[in-house]
Amino acid sequence: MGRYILKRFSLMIVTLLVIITATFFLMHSLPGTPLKNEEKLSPELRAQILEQYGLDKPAYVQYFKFLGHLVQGDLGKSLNYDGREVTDMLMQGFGPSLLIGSQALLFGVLIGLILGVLAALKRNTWLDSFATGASIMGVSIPSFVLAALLAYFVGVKLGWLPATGYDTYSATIMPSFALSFAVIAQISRYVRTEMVEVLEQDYMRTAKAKGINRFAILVRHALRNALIPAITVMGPLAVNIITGSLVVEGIFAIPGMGKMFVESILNNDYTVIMGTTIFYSVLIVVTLFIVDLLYGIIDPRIRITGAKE
Amino acid sequence: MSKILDVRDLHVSFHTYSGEVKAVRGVSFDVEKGQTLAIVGESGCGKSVTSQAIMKLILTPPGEYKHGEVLYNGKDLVKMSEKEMEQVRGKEIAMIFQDPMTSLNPTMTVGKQIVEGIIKHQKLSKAEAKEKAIEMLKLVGIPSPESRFTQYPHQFSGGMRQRAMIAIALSCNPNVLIADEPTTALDVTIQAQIMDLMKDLQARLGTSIILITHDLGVVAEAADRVVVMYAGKVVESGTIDEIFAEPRHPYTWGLMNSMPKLNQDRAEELSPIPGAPPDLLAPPKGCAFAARCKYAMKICQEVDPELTEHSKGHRVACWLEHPMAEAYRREAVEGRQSV
Repeated sequence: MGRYILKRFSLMIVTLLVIITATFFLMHSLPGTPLKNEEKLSPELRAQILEQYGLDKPAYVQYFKFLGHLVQGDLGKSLNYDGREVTDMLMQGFGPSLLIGSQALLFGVLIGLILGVLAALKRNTWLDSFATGASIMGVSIPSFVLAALLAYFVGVKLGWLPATGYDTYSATIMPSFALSFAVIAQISRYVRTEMVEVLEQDYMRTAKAKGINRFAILVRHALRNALIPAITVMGPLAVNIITGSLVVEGIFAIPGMGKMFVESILNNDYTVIMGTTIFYSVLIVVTLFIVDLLYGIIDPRIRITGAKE
Repeated sequence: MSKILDVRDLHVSFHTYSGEVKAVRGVSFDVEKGQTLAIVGESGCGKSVTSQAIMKLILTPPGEYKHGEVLYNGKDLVKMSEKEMEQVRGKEIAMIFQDPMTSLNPTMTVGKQIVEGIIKHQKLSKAEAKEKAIEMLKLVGIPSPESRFTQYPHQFSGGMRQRAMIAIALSCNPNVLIADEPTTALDVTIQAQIMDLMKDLQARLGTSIILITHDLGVVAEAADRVVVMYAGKVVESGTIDEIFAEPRHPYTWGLMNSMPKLNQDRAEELSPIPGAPPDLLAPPKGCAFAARCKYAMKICQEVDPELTEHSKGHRVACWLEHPMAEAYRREAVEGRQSV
């Protein structure tokens, strides 16, 4: 097990290095510089500023310099917001995104699970059709449409919850709800499909033949086996949701990561782009690693080899 | 001897898109305490459905218990509620399934799967149940049961899994054990071991066994009584000696003839029963076997023969049994022997 983790860890480092390299050079190949009002600057001043930030050097020199700083845990300062540390900005932006994202995820997985299991148990009834309909809507209606509708009706018309902002806890409810829809849709579909299959397996009959009651059979024998595909989609889904949705954060005016990322790209804010990319990548790679470990816990057949037989 | 299980005129159907499939069409038999009853017949004759119907393991819908009774110690299981059935399943009647590869939960340790039933039916603590489970694993001949207890089914071989299934089934000392083709998925050497194990346990625990199989070799070795099924009905039933020494139904003859014999010339071909069983969506009006029967008479196509008693306990459903067909029957028997 220790060897496996070490191997996975070194692979993670390689993956990250590839992502960092690709992003860095792609970013530098974009037209424009981080300078604002570039056309108004005199050539001398322009050259002076570029030199000050080290942007006059060839890209590969900048790349190695960046890596050097990165190893020391220094992501540099924002080029756009004068003098702000990228690390601080990330921490600040990640807070709201994490809170809203985890709420959405928790709620979405719970409801999705219940809906999926019920739909499988009551196959071909109105409940199943309802669950199918709900998940088709959940997948096909973009979260920002739902977010806008919610903000308008619940926030503005009814005035039950704050329509925008991030000052009170109640302000996080609507964005979380808007984001959870896609989670409900995906999880319920996967759980339903797998559950239907699991319910027809021979070992379910064996469990029934033991005289175990229906609920215990469902929880102990069916659910665990039905969760395996859902776990697969959970990883990327979780990262996606937790790192924040740019549009939903935009609609509810939440100072989160999504908003920060887009802004940085529009401004050619090199250090922030790199910082956010690295942050996202680490999160994804780590989540996928956790998912792989979870697999082994849920399904012993894919438990990591190397454990004693 | 007393009857522990008495199945009377059981009818089970499945509702499918193309209509009602009458899988079991009036099956009756009984099982005596401590005896082994074999149910034989080719694939699709309703043996498995019958066995699962006894424990009410057939999902309704699509299945339906149309008619009949399953009397266990005098109580009709068909009329019991699911809650009541939970007390019967595993505790009074237990079952071993055909495919040990798929019949165990892949994500639960073998130990837990045995313990589950023990805790449910014997009201033991977890530690006591574990002890009992390990004892069961030892009983069915699994070496180092303590370490096997915590392993998952995929770490067991096929034969081991079937042993584990038997351990699960016998863990609560059931009075009746239904074994649905317990050796079909196993190779021949393991087959013999499993059959010996079941016989041995039966002798020790006094369990009655219903053995579902299409392997007449297994039947000859293990059964006390035999029920031959065809197209959802019983066509012949009797003691093992009666069925093997003096089979009376042409279908039973066909089954016997299709078995390879030890003294058979290698060049000689096996003699299968030609044709295929009828479609149970629309079962024939007369005898279901008539279309494949060499000795079919006119009446066989028209009227389904009743199960009649030839001698005490030996029952046959065939028009050849009719007194008016006596001469024809003798001819048929002679013809069969000359083959």
